[in-house]
Amino acid sequence: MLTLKNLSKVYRTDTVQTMALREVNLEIKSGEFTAIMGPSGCGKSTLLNVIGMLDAPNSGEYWFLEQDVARKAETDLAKLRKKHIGFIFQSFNLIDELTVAENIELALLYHDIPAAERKTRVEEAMDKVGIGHRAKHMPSQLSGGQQQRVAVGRAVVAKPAMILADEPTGNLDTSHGEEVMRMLRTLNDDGTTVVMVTHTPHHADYARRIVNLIDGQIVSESARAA
Amino acid sequence: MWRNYLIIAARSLAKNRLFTALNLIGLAVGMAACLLIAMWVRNETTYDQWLPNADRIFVVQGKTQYPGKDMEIWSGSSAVMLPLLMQDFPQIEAGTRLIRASRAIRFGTRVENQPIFLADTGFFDVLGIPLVEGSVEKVLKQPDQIAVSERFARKWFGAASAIGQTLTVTVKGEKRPYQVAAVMRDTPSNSSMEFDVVMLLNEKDFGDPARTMQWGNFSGSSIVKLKDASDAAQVDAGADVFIAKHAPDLVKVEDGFYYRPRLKNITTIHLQTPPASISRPPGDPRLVASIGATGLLILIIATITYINLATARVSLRAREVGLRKTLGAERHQLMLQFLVESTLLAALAGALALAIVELCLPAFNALLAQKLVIQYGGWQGVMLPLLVMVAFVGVIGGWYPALVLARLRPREAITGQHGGASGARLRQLLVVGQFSIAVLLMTCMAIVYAQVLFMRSADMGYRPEGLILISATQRVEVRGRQQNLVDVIKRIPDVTATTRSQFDPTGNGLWRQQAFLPGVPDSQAPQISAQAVDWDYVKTYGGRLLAGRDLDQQFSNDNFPENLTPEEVVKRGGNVLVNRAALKFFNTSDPRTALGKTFQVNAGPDGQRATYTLVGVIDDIRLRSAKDEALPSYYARNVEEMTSVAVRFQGVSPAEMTARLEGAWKQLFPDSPFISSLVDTAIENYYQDEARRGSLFALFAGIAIVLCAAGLYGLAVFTAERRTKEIGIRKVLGASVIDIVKLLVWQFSKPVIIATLIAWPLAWWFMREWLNGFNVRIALTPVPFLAAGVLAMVIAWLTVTWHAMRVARMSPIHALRHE
Repeated sequence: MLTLKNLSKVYRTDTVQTMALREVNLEIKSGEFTAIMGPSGCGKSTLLNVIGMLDAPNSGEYWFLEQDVARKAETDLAKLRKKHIGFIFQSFNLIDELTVAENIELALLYHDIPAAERKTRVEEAMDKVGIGHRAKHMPSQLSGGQQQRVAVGRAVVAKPAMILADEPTGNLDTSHGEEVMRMLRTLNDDGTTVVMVTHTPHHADYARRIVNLIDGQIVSESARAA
Repeated sequence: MWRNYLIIAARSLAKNRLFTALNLIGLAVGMAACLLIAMWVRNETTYDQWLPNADRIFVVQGKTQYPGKDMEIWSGSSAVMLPLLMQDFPQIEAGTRLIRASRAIRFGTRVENQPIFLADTGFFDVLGIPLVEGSVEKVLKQPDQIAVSERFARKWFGAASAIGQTLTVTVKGEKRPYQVAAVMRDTPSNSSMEFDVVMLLNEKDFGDPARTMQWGNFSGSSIVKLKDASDAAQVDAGADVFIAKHAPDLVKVEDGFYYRPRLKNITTIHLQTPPASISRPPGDPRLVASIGATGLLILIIATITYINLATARVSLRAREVGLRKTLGAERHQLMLQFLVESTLLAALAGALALAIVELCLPAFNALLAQKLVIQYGGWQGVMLPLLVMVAFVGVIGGWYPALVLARLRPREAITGQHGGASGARLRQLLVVGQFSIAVLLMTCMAIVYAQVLFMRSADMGYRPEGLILISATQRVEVRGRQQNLVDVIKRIPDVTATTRSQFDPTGNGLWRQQAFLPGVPDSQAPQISAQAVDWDYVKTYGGRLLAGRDLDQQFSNDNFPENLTPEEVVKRGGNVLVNRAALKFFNTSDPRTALGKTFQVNAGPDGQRATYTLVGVIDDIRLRSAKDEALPSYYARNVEEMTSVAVRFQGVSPAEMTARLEGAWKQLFPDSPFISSLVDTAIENYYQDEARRGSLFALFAGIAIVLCAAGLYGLAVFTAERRTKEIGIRKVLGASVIDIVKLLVWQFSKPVIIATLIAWPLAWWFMREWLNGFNVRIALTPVPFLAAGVLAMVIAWLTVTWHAMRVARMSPIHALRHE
């Protein structure tokens, strides 16, 4: 699915230079469920952002579906992103002014999909994450767990090949966290590639592969059978 | 997709109610002000364009130049000229002379003094004023067939048809019947002439033909219609030959004197200087330009407020943008979204602006003494400029946020790490810009207002209060018995003095001659204004005698009796008064040393000169307004030309005195309407233009400053919001409420101070130019500048402080939790 070769990312301010990723080499295959773990500030989120093409690396190579991402223009990246990748954030990032259904539909708006089909797919996605009964509610009327379910719904509605989840359970209590993890697991079982950043070893156990990151470098990796 | 844009736009506007309200109302008020101004400017600049073939209609004006002096353009021309012009220039298709006059008109028991126009038979051929009733077949072709306006017909005949009605008009003391043969469509508000009654001009009936039919009398107007608009240049080119052929004496008598007719298109006379005498209250191109500019400035201020609030909102929408980007939105899609949103709000404001215009139009008309009517469609309508404004504001207001937001990297947008610094700088710059405009307008307003007050209280050289003028004494039936009238008035109780004069504060006549002075070559002889007065002129008007004595019946040379022939005047000479402004002709500034000095004027039929001796010097009298220049003038007792009687009274109300005078008049002239005016009231009218200018500036400067304040308030709320966490930390670290308020207030004081420093020199320059148009003017002191600057600062503080206090009082825990 994707390959990172000697990939580095540096953040510079006037006085400080922070090496967020150092010479990272990583390959993720189609259908994998990978958890990225590590202490605060180790570069997990940066790695995920680079994989999601939300941030550009300073050096190294990034191949996504046999395409050289590092050399692509912003417009092409946007196209690649909307076609293949779905995002789930720790802070849900729902738009306050839109209803549950409209938030989910948002992910389809930038694809050329007719309104009728959009409606069906939004309903399917809502059913999948169990939020259909709240379709007309505003995000502010939902609990954290429900909001994250909407976010998952939005991530899957466009049927992306890969879902990137940045601490999806970070803002949730234990039971809601488990619920979201089960959803991700189900998605993966259905063939979607999942890359997830997490702090919680228990949640990392839902993944089939764990990558440990310290100071921007991959220090260890473990894989287990499904 | 569009539905989604609209939903987001509508809900986001509804959510940020304060921003939306400030934006919407601010923009609507700005647009409404701009529309009102545009309507007014349009009206002022399209005068007479409604006339059919307006491009071919020209006013014949006079152009004169004395040797060594500036060229003078007269708004009218000699009535002698038109028949000759039509004879010499085949390019002229039709022509008419137009003379404004006033006639006593009687219908049934109703008698009123009515302003009328005397015109030639070519009147309708030239102007083509549409008729609502009757036909042009007989009107003005037969002397007793006249045309009246719809307005006039309604007023005098009510619902009955006006055609065929007979009005009795007093002409030369004789009552003559006139028949209404045509009813003209009312002239619209953008007409330089308001025709209510048009009668045939008969040279015999008009005043003193010897005087009216002179080449040098510019009091009439001639209007011609050319066969082709481009013919005007040919007529102008033939003017030299024309004058040499018909008026060779005119150029010969006074050596080096230049005199030509010139054609001026009728659509340009409203805004020309000097104002045309046939034009109703004439326009002022400088006023049109300055009010037009004010309208644009207000639109700029409103747009700036709009952009400011829009850019401030950028940060609030960053997360949404980031999210849309992660979902695959492309840049142009995002830009489109924000432009749609911005244009939607601008369109709402536009609709609101239309409502405001509809509501405010009557008040606006009252303020400007106008009759503007709102028209929606077409090239002339308000919809077109409104749509342009909506598109302009929508795109300008949406452009920056669209650009900034669309450029954000999604990761930065989503995590709120985007830099707001450049936006903040831009906002500060915009605040500086709009406050510069506001301070500029306020300073100008203060200076205009001070100047108007100053002129009202300025010394005019006489006392207008307690003085009544009786006009129309030139009427044939009154003229021969003027002295009778004066004698009767003198016997009325509480009348302290009475006099007659040729020119008075209600008119704008002027008579000038060349003053030939000992030792000054004829070619450099200066112009002196001549004023014919009766005995007691200085006493009645309340003028100040600086040296010598008033004109006195005891001295026979003080008098120019009516039976004195020009030859006798040349032989005998006479005694006169001069004003202070004329002292420079006698090389002195001390009035006493001027006494006994002499000057000569052309008096005889063959250019012989009469010698006048100075027996008294009076202070400059500005009859109409302190705005007028005090021309060097001489005053001679000559009752031939008297147009009005002035009566000074004391110890009784003006109304009572007017009634007593009317009683005396009615006994002498029972069939003639009595026309009188209080001089101080008449003078007030001359200041109305200035007062209107003052009110206009006050109104629009007020709107400007309110819009600035609204914008600033929006920014203050936004900034406080963004700095909530910082404020919390400061408070935890021990900052007091006052410290926080100071911090926020200072942030907004800086741009206002810079704006003031930018506005001052601009205001100084504009106002110096404007004040130069006045002869009596205030000095440009720092006071209005400081006042405007301080006012702007106070308004900014009041706007910001209230919100800053609220934020500063918040518990620090709340503030820290904000993020």
